[in-house]
Amino acid sequence: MKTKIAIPVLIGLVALQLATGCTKKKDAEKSSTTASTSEGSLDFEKRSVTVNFTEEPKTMDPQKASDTIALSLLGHTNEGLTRLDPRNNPFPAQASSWEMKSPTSYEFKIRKGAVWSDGKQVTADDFVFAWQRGLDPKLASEYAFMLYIIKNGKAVNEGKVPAAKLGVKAVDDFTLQVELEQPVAYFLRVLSFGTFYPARRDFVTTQGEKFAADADKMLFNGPFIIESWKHNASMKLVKNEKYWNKENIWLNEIDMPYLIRDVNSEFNMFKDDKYALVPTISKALLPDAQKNKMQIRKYNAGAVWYLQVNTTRKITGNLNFRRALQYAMDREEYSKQVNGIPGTKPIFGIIPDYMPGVSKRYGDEYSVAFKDSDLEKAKKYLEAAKKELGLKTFPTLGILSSDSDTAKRDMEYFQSYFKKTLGLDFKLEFQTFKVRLERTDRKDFDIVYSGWGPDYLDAMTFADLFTSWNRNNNTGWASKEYDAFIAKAAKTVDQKERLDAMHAAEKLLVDQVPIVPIYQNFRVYVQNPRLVGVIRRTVGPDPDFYYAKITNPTAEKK
Amino acid sequence: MGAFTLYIVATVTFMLMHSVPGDPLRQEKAVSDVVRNNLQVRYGLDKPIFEQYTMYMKNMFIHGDFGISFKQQNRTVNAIIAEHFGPSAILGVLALFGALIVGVGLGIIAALKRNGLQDGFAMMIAVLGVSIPSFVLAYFLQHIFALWLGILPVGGWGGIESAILPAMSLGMIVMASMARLMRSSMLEVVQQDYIKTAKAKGLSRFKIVTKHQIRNALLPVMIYFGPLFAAITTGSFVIESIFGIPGLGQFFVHAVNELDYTVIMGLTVFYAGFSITMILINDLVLAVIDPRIRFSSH
Repeated sequence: MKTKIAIPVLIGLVALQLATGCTKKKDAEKSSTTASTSEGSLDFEKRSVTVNFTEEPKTMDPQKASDTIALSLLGHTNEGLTRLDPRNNPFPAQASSWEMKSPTSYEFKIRKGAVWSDGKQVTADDFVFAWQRGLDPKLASEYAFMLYIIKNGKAVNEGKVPAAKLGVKAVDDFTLQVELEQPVAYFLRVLSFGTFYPARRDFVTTQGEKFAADADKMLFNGPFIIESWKHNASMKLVKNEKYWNKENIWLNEIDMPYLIRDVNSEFNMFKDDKYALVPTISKALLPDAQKNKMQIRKYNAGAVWYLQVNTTRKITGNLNFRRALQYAMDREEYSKQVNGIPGTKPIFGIIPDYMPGVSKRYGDEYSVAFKDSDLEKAKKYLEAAKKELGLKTFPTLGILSSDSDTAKRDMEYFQSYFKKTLGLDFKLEFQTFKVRLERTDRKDFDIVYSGWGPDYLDAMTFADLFTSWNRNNNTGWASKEYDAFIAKAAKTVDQKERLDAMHAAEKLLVDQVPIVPIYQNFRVYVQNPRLVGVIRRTVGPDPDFYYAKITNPTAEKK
Repeated sequence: MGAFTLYIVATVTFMLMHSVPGDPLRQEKAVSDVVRNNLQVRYGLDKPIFEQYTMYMKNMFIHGDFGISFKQQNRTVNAIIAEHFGPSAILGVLALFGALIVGVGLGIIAALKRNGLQDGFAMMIAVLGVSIPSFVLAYFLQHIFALWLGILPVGGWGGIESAILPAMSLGMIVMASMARLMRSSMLEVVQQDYIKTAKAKGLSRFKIVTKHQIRNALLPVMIYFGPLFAAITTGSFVIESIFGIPGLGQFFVHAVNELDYTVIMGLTVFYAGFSITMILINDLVLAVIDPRIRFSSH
């Protein structure tokens, strides 16, 4: 009697499982044969590419956008006076031409036929409005500082002068005059950045607080428009048929049907040919990618990582102590063994090697390198510090960092490395994003592990970080000499003069050690080999599909 | 009573949230003092804390307005809840009912075949279900069903097939605990006097099991159902990130990390309100099922 009830139930369950499993498998076999042409991540016929919707942008308002994803999306849907080619050189975009009247004065001609997605011509006033808006203290944009190069930009942002005083004027619909605060060597390049994109007065004013909140509350003037946008879920870009250069845009569709935050799942989607590109893969996924014979590509992510040392505290305020850390640090071992991403390399100063130099790259022409992991020198400095401070042994100091997995790995390495080489004890303090920033602002730390990514492609985006007036300099270190070098570099457009001054500043930084530089980073990624022409950028919209094409699958077989 | 609980929850959350160190308005790049002040004005953080509190409570309880998210700068918290509760709820309902059916089934089988082969098998599944973390299970299922067999999508949201793997990952632990609960409850019921009475009356074993044993053993399981329903339908951070589901779960975690005050408050109050409602409904349903609860108040 007992078995009579239970066994049929069990058998039933198992049978059901098998039956449903089998039918599904058959369906899948059927569909997978057709999937290669219609369901994969690339569609040659429709000129469509499917990728991950990596993250919901914080805002798609061009004047406020600050996160990578928003700037990348906006780089496809909107456009400034210039745009960057694959080699990062600016070319005329919404402006058709320009004239430099003096080192601080430019006149731009707006391109006739450059139109908004509602068909109206882009005018000079759209730029005047956008730039004034970006600096409006009420808008409180995080990236307003990008516009400080415009005459009176900083004063407008600080509410000291009215927006009308900003050095930008629409002479007529097609003529835009720009006055700069000082000569800016990288001006034409920086015009391609999101904060400088135009915005239309009537549209933005009507939308009010809701501007850019949804696809239908935006206006586009770039190569693509947002066809649909479901928050935190999906987005679809389609080619903008009104774009002035549409003949040179090959892709019709960039589909981002799902937002998958988890890196392992994102990678699995690539394996399953649901995504054509995974913009960054972690070190942990490298072996899997290699095992699956994927072509692993790398690109220069461009950020510089360093330890900021709090020079206002007793021990870390001691120059010899800081120098001990500086010379002890093993940048080579860190880059190769701990970080392990191909391309990641040591840095000894603050200006990374890829920045434009006088005629070659900065790194080819200037160097502040010294002997890496020079333990003898480091120990001498540590002894000197001990004497100066009158200490028998050093107390335990704290290193503050974010709570990400990679930060934890790096911090544990630094801790054991300094213990092993200098016998110093460090306490690791992992904090959430907001807490870390708050403690850094309050100078409530001994050492903080920080990184800085470039905002534009010029050495200045790094060099001015450690001026006394830069709010991102948390070291408490202020040097009149350093400030003077940077001010000198900012006053001229002569590339050699500028770089000489910035290099002198960098040397001073290395000598005084408010920071212990460690490395500049690369990223690795995987991409469907049939997808070509995707530009990975250190600065600017990344990844950039402007030049992307899909190779013909039938042609390839022959 | 429910409204009062809600008010207490909101107040305590407000106090805890403001005692967490960190500045919600600080971004990666430092901004000028003027800009900072303007941001504070925009979010009302320039006012004294008590005024912020009364203003917030007023907006929330009188106008039902949770405010604007600090992070997703153009979106109201109301819109976030409205848009993202759906996917979490669908997933939660699927997971819960799947877990309930399988879990209760396994529990019944295990109890009827106590110490037998079936019992061992069912309890092994239950132990595995409780002890395997959901993200491990999620990756495991993803590899088996999506990459290896190719019958279900790796991730994404849309169509019932995309809900199966996440629902299984989410429901496994519930299923396992239900199976164990049901088993012990069945065994307890068996010793009750009314079962002996039923046997003495000469009822068939089938009738005793279905009509008396299972029905009564279900009651403890049902008691957990309401709160569990509220918990599981409001989203899981881990499962939603792995499968790319646009649900509410992610917001609970991100909002706390980012100190997104309005979202923290909105979600906590929403969750509390939803839980209270579910518990209430649960109690009413239980009263219908269980005569002892219905009559105890007399």
